[in-house]
Amino acid sequence: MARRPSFILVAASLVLITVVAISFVGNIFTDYQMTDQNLMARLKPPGLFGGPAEYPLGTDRIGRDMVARLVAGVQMSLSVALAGTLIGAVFGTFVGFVAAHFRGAVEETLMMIVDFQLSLPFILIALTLLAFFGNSLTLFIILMGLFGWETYARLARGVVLSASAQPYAKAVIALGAGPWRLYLRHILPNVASALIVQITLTFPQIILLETSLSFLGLGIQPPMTSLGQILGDGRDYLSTAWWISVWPGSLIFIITLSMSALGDALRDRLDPMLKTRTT
Amino acid sequence: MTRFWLFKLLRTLLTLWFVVTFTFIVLRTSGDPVVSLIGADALPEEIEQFREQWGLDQPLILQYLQYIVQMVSGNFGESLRDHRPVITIIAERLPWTLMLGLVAYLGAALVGIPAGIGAALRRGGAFDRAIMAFAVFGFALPNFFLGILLILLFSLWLQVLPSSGTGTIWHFVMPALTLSTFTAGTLARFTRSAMLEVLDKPYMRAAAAKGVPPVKRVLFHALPNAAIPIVTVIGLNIGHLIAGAIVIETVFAWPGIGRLLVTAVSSRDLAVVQALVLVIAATMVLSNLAVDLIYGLLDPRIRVGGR
Repeated sequence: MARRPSFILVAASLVLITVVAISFVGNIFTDYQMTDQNLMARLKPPGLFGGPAEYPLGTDRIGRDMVARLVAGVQMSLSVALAGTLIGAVFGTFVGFVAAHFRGAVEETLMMIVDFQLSLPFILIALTLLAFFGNSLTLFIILMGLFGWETYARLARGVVLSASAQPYAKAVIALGAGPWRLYLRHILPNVASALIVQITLTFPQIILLETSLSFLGLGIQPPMTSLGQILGDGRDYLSTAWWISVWPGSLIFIITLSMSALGDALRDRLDPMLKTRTT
Repeated sequence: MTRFWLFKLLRTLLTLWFVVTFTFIVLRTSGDPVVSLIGADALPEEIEQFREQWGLDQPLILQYLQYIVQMVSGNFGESLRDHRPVITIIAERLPWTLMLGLVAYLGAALVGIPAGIGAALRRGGAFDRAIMAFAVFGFALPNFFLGILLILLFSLWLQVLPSSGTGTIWHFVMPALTLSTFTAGTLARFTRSAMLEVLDKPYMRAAAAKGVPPVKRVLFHALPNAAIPIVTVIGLNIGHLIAGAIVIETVFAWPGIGRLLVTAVSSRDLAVVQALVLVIAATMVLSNLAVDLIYGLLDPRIRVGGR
């Protein structure tokens, strides 16, 4: 049954498309690179607020153009979150399939690890691993992937367990397909919509996690930058240069808000059962 | 009934054991634990003494057991930075976090629960929609950015509140407000849906037919029955609150354990990190146990069912 797309769905998608587009071509709005310093133009207010017109969003503590910084920050924050979301989804789904396939002790152990991760706030686990292993971009992305994998694992396990009892699964097995063919070609498409909804719900949480850690100075390290890192930089200049923290903060807010709205709208559409249960 | 308490207690102990094992594994896989815990510039005799004290010359399984004993007895070693016992440092900082958390939690409950009840009573009305919109916005707004906006508004623009540190009661306002916003939103949402579920029940109609006044119906008939999901959310939110405190204490330069953890992680003061992880995990697990016990008191069905 075809329905008209809801207003929220359209608005949220448009905002996200704009943000992604800016992260690709945003540099046409500025003549500067994100690392270009100009010590003569330190902490210049945005063009609209009485600053020089060549810096429409102002400059930071060493005279770098905020437009170029923000474009680079959006690129980094989005790609780290995207990588983290995909790693988590693939890894979690795989673990769920393994747990459901082997049952017994393997399943018990995996589900105990899932419970353990759920019993602690993830930022605590992330901080521990960062403290002991030191910070690197690779470890940081893996950490983002570790966030939320347990949800996919539980989802995938539950689906395999219930699908295995269905006639179509028995038919596929009887026709000679191996278990992995059954999981990947026959069961995975059936959970695709639930997985997509979960991805849209995890993505904003990973953005918040990345920006929190980068804000604390424990995530993305200079010379690379992310929205959280720019915001953390701006914290020391609140009294003189509000724009350094307000622009990246607003961007994070806009991205997470529209992504969550999109996720909620998708969930209502793809998974009507959930809607009747939660309201 | 005893089975219920025993089962809960066992689960709590199991989780704590997992956490200790987790820190042990991380400590042993990330490099030489001696270097990790007392620093690379330690004297050879210090290293020798440390190895002996922590039993690092013994087989791995014995080391593991000894590690558990050390952790349980609160012997977390010394901080790299000032060589004071870690347990003393944490004891200094913990009260600040507890105070802030308590104020934030009370505030969130006092605002969130009545707001949720109000939204449920006028379902679909303007107040209901405003509350739901607020909850969605509260979820998407990063708490550190909310803190910074508050500093900009109240400390720099209006100049009515101190921007950071401690000292007066006014120093509590912004950190507590920031910390409680998310929790208040979640509480409001869950209270709303729990109340909606209860309000349609036949016993509510029976009470109305009997002539019980509306306020009494809500407070004495509906609310106790909606309490279980609300208590659950309060329990689950302790984790959010701790995670929030880690970030927010840094924003407002609050001298609690959250800020201690952040500085310890960035200076790689691993003895402090390890102890804090255990202390925070223990706090969370124990408060979840407390929530479970409160369930049993609130709802005899759970207690007797022995789930």
